[in-house]
Amino acid sequence: MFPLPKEDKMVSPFFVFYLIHAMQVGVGILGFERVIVQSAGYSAWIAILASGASIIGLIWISYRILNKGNNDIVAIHADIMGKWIGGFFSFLFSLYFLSFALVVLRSYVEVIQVWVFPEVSQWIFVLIIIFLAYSYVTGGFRVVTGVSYLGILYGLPLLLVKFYPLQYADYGNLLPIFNASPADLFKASKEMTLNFLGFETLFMFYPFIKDGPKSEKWAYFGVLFSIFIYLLTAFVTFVYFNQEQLKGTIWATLTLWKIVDLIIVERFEYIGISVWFFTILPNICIGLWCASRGMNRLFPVSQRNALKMFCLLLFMISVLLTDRQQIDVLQKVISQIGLYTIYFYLPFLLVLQYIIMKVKKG
Amino acid sequence: MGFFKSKLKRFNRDNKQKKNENSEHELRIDELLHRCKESTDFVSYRYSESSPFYIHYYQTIVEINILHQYVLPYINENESNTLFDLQQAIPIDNTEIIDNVHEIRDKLLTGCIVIEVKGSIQEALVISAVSLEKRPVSMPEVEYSVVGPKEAFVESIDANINLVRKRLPIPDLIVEEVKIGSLTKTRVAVLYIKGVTDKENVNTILQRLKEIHFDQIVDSSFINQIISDNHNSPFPHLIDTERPDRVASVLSEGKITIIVDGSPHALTGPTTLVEFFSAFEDYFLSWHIASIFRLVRLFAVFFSVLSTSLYVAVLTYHYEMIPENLLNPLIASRSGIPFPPILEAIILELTIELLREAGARLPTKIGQTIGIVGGIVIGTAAVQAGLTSNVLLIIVALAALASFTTPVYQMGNTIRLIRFPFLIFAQLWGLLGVTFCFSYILCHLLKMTSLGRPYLAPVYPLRLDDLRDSLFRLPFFMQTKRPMQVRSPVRTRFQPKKHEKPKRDIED
Amino acid sequence: MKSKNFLWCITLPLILTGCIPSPKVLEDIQLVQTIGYDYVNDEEFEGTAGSSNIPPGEQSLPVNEVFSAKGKTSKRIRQEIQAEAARPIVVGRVGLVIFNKELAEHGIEKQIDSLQRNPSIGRKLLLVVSKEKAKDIIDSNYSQSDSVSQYLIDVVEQNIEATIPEINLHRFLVHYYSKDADPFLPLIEKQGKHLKVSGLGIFKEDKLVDTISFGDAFIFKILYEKFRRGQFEVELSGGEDVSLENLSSKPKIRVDKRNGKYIATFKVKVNGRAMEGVDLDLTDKKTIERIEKAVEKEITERAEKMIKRFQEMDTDPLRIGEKARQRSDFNRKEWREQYSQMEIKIEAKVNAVQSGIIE
Repeated sequence: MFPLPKEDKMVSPFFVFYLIHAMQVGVGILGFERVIVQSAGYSAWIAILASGASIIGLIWISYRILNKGNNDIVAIHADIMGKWIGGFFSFLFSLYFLSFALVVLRSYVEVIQVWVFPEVSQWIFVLIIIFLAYSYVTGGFRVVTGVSYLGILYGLPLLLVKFYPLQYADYGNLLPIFNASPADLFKASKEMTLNFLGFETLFMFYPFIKDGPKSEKWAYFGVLFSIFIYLLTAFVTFVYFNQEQLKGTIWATLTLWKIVDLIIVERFEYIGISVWFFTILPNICIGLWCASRGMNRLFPVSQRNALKMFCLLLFMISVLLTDRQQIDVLQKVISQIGLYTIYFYLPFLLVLQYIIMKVKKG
Repeated sequence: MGFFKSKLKRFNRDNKQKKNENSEHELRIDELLHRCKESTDFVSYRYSESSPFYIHYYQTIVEINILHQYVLPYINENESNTLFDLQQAIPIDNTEIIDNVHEIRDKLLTGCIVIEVKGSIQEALVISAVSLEKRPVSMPEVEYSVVGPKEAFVESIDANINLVRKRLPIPDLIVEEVKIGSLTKTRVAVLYIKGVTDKENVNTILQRLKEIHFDQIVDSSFINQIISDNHNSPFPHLIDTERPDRVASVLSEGKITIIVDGSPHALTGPTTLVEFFSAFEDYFLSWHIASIFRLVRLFAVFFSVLSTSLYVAVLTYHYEMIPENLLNPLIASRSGIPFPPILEAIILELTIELLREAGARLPTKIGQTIGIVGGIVIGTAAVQAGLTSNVLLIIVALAALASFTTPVYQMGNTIRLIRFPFLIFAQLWGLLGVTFCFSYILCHLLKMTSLGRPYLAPVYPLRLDDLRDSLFRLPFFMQTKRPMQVRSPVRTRFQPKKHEKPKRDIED
Repeated sequence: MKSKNFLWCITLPLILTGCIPSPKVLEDIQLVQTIGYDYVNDEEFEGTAGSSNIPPGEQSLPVNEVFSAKGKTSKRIRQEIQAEAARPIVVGRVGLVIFNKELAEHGIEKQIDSLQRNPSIGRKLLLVVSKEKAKDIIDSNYSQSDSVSQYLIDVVEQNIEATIPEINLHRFLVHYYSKDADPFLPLIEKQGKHLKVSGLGIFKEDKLVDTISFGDAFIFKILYEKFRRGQFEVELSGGEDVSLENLSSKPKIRVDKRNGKYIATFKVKVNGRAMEGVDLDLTDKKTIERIEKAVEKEITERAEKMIKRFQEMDTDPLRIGEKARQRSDFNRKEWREQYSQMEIKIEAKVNAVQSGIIE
């Protein structure tokens, strides 16, 4: 009923590293510092570690579910809950994956509109990006993996640029080290978790990994690398900005790039925003791929048609969201859903799967 | 594209019809001879009144000395009057008695002497006496190298295979030949080393070659375009090279070579994008130098593709990015110029293309002059007349120069072509436009395959082993494995000798 | 399918040309390089934009162009200025912002806010306070071949390297937003055909409350940041003048809390080469020691005096408060109460070596 993909469509387990990492580092990293600092001050880096650790735990859970099911979430749902209820949840998952693409796409276009071309209407950028994402996704999962891998490679040099703000660093900013109540830290961790969302796409592309169980360690490495990137970014931002200043800075990383002066280029943020496109493109591609693949598995519709439909949907919703408040609301809603999904639904699924497997065997 | 496809289809149909006609009424020898006699260079006579043998040949493609020295005397001496006796008598090894008229016709047209005996109906003795006009093996011109072998392929397929076989004297070097082209009947040879090359790759190529239905195959580039994986791609799918040393080297890597008669360029594949930026000379230099040159070439490609579009993007939208010291010179060079940067850039780019095209079409000596005169005179005049800024002139000239560093000519053309979409996108959305365009091309490259193998390897899919001879060229003792790309059944090329030198003291 | 994609790729941009951003081609815009703000009354202020036109040609000299207008907000002023400019005015390349002293005394919050909100403005922007009207500084000729704006920027930049503490928009904002520190800005004044950096303007929040002299600005720099390549002159007890060159210094602030009382200590390490001692034997170890002592004394005395003044004004440009905040037992209310009376010690350690090419 749910056949596994062909061998030549698969990718090596090693690429799970890039897929997971690409999904986790998206548009959030341009401005996550402000959010966590508002809750926990400059001790917020602890929150990064804490939520990162919890994500590692969740990946462990995910792999237990997937290794046992040995297929994607649609098949697992159908196994556990039957065709109708399982199908319903799978459908929700598909929409959830689509919403990732939506949030990332719309936030990036917002950045373009605020920082680069304020006078251009959003729909044109939405259209171009969706078109590009469409042409990637039609290449299949291998191409999607390729763009996540290359996107990360292109994004990495941006880390080197962090050197420039460090010249203005005041390392004393980080002191005192523990200056937040556990409640504040918990709140910050919760907010930080939103940035780590996206690893759930694993549930969709798992069958496309050659020798899935072997990829587990790469998934952990991917998360660890994300944690490292977030920590490094937070560290540089913290020592560069004053705490009060940071609380009012919406896109800390972008503001930070303003100080970069590369002799032949001043004002790095314009380059930064352009190069950042290669980091957000994989997010949109993976989101769209997962959503359309889910549709293809659930309904008798070709993945290409599902993709076209979703692209249209994505375009319409993105254009309808016109101002920052709406985008913020969208982000909040999606992240709330994500939070409940990963912290409550996944463990629930694991337990349910365990019980049902036991019952079926017995 | 669709137009082209339909044309191809129609052509195939015509072809089939013709074939059917041929086979319908069986060709007879006298009919064949009759048809041949319409050409004035066809010679057909009886040796003497007493001799039973009739001799037919095309005098333009037959080596007349062979006829005079080795055939006619024996016909004369020989008293017998069967073809078999004659075959025995003639001291030439390449003779055959054929009773298939189609075969006889083919032989006749490829330079054989056909001897017919009086009375025999469908049998003829065929003596090979091909006279081939070919130029001697000369210096490589397209892929010139300062050091290393100075041989280049010529137009004769036999000479070319000779050049390769000389370098690989092993029985495992297999040559498979197909004839393609309903009119040209071009001999196309597929070369590979048995046991080293993946059988699947060979089959892919042979199958694609056999599926070609086309009237004329004049050059290997025809084959390159027809069998490519994606007909709409501006990127070449197979490397064409004129260096037999390069061919020998890629064959031993496990790749396949296609040699086409009448073409001084061999095709090799499966290939990757980075391979197009490796000159064969890299292997003649020490590995540090070669690696640096490869990186320089790669940089040159990026520079060539992106520099003018970045100029347009920055000057049109992102003035903030120009550093303080460059600002005044840039404004000074730009102010007073009547065109916006995009027009200025397109005009200059087109000028360079014109110069290049004119230089390529004209005889070498005039071409050089045109290049110099055009470059200097037009450039200086344009700047002095205030039509273009001298900064852009420098950038465009450098970009053109950079595009010529690509060792494979076909790739150089592609690079010059993809500059223009970048320019347009830069004008539309500045730096973001450049990014959009870049990601579209990246998407294209990611989807692309060469003989079904990923084109972007070894970067994606990442093959760390293959990186040793792609972006860099590491020393030979580290090149112990064949690239993953070719899926060779024998991955190890040689067993590396242990490079362990006993640690000696300084003065030991 | 694929050829359709390709077609789309080419035709899309053509159909959509209506949605492209409006170009700001480099030579078709009026690049503002300096901005000046002057005080008019409590509601209005005057904005001056200094820019230059560069005529075509390789050796052409820039021609100065100055626009100014009065208004309540920066936006309003910009509109007025736009009305008299031949080309659209853009502020993305502003390198220097001059606040008139009078305006600075009334507060510069409005102006700073509009600067930091504008995404096209960089963070390396220099801010200064001028004794004269900012408009007069921008709208005058200096004995330089460069454009006026470039000249003004060069003067300030050069001084930031050696004589006054480094401050740009980013640093200013860090100090400005900090709850435990106050900002400062360089002070400039016109002197004949030249511009001169004449000290530092000390702020309390966004208002200028005090100025310190050029000499004290250097002491400030020693206390404020690590640097190399400075120069310091001192008069010995005997009346001889000695200068320390190639001076490098590294300050360290320590804030202790004893019995609920904060005590701050500046530890300053200064290295330098003694030069220009006309009647002095600089090879003599004793002379060197004397010089060291004299410099130490000079730095300590002047620094203490300066800090006393800051305490009287209840302003903290040296970020002592930030240092105190880094203590885990920090209490902001206590600190605010104690700051103006607290004990602040200066410990200068000077290490001089003889140098010069003549003994």
